[in-house]
Amino acid sequence: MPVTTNVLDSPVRNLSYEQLTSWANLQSGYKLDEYLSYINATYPNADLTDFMLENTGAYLDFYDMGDGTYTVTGFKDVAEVTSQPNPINSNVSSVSRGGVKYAINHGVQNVGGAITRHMTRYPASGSFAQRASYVLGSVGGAIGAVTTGIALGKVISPLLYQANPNFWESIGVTQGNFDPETWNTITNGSDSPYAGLFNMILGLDPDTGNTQAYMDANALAYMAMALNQNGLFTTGDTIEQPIEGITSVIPIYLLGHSEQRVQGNYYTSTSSSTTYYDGFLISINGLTRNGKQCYLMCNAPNTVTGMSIFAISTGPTNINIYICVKTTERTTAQVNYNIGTYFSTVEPSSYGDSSVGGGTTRLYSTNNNEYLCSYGEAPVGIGTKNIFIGSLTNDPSSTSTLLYGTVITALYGTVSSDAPAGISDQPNATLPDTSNWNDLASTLASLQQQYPDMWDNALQYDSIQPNGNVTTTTYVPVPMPEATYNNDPQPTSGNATQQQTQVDPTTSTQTLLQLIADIIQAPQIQTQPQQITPPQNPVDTGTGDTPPIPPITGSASALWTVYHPSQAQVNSFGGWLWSGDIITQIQQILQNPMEGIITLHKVFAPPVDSGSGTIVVGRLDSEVPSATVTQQYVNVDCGSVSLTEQFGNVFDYTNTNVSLYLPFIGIVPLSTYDVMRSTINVTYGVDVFTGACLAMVEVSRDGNTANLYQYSGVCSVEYPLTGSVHSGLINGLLGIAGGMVGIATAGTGVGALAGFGAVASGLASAGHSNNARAGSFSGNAGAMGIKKPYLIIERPQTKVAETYETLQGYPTNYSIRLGDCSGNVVVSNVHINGINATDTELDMIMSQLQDGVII
Amino acid sequence: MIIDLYVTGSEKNAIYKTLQSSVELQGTLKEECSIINPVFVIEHTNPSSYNYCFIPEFNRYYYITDIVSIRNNLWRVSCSVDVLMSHQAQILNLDVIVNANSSPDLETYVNGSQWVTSVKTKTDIINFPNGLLESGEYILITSGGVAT
Repeated sequence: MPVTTNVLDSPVRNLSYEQLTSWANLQSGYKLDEYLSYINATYPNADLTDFMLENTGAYLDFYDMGDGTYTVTGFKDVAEVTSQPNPINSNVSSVSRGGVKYAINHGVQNVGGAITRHMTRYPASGSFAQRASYVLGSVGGAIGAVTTGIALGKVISPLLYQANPNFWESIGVTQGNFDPETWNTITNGSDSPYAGLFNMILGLDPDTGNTQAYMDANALAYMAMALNQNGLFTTGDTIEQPIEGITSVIPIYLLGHSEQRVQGNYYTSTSSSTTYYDGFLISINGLTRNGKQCYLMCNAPNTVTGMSIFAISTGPTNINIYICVKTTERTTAQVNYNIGTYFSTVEPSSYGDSSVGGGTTRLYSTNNNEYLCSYGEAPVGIGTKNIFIGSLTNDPSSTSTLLYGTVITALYGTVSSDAPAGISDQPNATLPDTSNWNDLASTLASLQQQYPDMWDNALQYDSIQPNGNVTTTTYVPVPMPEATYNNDPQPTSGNATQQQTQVDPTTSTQTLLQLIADIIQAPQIQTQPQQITPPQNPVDTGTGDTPPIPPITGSASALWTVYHPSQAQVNSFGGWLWSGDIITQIQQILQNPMEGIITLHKVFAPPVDSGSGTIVVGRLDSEVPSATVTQQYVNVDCGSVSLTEQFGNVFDYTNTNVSLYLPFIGIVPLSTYDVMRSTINVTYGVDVFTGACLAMVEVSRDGNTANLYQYSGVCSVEYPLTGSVHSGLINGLLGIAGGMVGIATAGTGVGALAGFGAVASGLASAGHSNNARAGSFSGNAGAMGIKKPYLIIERPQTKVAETYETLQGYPTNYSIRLGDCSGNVVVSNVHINGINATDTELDMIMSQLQDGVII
Repeated sequence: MIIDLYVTGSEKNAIYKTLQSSVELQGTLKEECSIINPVFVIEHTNPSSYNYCFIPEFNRYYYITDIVSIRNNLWRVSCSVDVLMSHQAQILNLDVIVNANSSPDLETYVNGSQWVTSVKTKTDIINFPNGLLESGEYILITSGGVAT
């Protein structure tokens, strides 16, 4: 074996995915990662490229990732590989596809399964990172949103869901409504069983069981933008002492506003009149009206000699807005210049046409500040935005109308904020500065700048895309929320904080551990030493893959020739068969060409042409050109579809029926338990010589793939060349059609009616769920049918009462301390001990628990 | 002996009862009295608005099941023990097997008669992206070899 220390230094080359999987499959079904792991372990000093070339005949480019791992990036000549002996061993791994297959999904990473060290790079420091084993899982949008919130310093409590159980869906962060284009790039594609879910990497420390979650940095930035747009990162401004006369002050949370920052855009515009205005357009989120006064405090420097401050706003209800200017920076002569408030319902570009209200100048004072205020009534409603604070002038050249300096926008008074209840700040957390969050790129850059530790401890995950390119994705460490499963719509912070992101299984709650187990689909986390307990419920995912399908080779091509003629060529051949040329006729008398024709049929799969020639029948050459075919078997991949749960409960299984229409075969039933929550692939294997076809239904779920159903048929149409052939065809069709055709040809009269009645009664007794959708149809009949497979999913319409969950609860069967439950609880069994009560009372307790109690 | 009369609107099978409008009666038990279903006579202007009581000496809570007017301001009150409220702390500490629950860990994949459906169903079709050829390709097989 070659043992070299040379490290390949070639650049990354594009890889054909089909070539790579074919090569991996040919290695006795080994997954690519498994094969490379074996080589690395067995020949630690080997140069992988030389090794693979010498031992398999395959030239592979390995890109050195710098940590002792490689990424395969090149491939050459599969045919050479097959001729080499397998250097590993003869044990066959029961996979039908290479492991890299699952890395490809709309540009995002694969789902499920372990991440090998060939595809992951770790941060430079951190013993955890070096020790851990990594697994890729998926989580829903709500968990992504809460994870982001915790990582950026927020606390999300169950209170958030009291008013709106579907809070995250309602603000659009779980479906990508906020930014569909970005959403599609950071979630799994629609044909994946994990559609709409984020990828999350979990690192497991094999010694301690500690878990660290990592989230795609792009997903983190997307969620951060979405949360910010919905006011979850609003911060309170510094509130000064209340103005005299104001009874109470409640801080108003503005989007990213502070004394140092000014949000909004400078407006400089003209209108048809001679009115000009310059100012700031700011957005205020969560401004409600409760009949109180609103003060907008503006600080204009002395350079502004004459100005008007006005606000333009829109909204369904009116509140009073006071525009106030500090007088401390003004000369006495400037104190009393006019500050008017003008309110309009439209944007500044059309100002001047619909102003409402006016201003009254008042002077208020408090502590050491004096304010010159003007107020008016402005239409402002809940969640209003675009309050314009600017200046008004009729002189476009007047610089005095420009508002220079910083505008303090702090709202005083008893106007309350309607920021979502249930969201608060973590103590001592670093809250983000959202001022530059304009798009995904700027948000990502801002987060990287504000939270450098996250990027210092990030993972680099490499995946191979369908076009062969290697994509590197950064996964940053994040805290994990409390959730019951990976698509829980109501996750909460629990004990997770921005600072403490690792999960200690010995101190974590059961719901957090359940989330981790659900993501990685392996019950590896244990909170206590192994005890002798009743058998645990096994995980609800199966394992194992069906064996691969071996290619069929060999043919006796010397005994027959298979032609693939076009319609015109068939016509020409027919013309030769019944030629009027005397020479041709003499030849045909000596040897009947019809005896040399074995079959003429149409096959509904694409034959693979191997060459061309003229059609020869026996020893007679028709001189009609035609392509020839030597490959007897072809595969037609009909593609894959995903079948996802619609109800998320028993209705998806016990009340849902799934059937599959297969061309040239019919409609076949599938077990709902087999195919629900899976990707279904249909591939036809077709014998183009005879038309025989085998429809193979492959089901992929939870990282495993199995060929669960196979149906045979005939996907060709025979053309009768002689009368005897035609009769044989018709007889064959009658046999296939079965009873119904027999009754139809029985003739008229009592006999036929009786026969029909017998069949009809059979149908009547079949019941609702047993109606056959189609009989078997193949061959000539199948040619008239649909040529694409399709799934038929029959689902129930549910009638579960809306309040059933709270009034009675759903059936379940698990052990728990009663005090950990809430709502309606029905107990099936309990040992009542430790209660100081009479025997009668104990019976009453048992009876009431079994009837159901409310906690 | 003290009897605290209350008004409660909580469900009978609720472990915690919300108690309001309490009035304390003091007296002495003059004859035998069950601690499961006590019956006592009280002097009160009109206790008919009360439906719940607590007897500290018995350390139990009771539903008032009947109030009988004996004569002016004298009433006979019949009670029945509320075991849930009386022993709530110990009951909540029990380890149980739950048959139906509102939360936590709401299980929705266990079958039961509660999953009610209409007789109507709906049918969805999911088409595969590809299929066999719409129109076939001719295959002609003849005996003998190919001429070039």
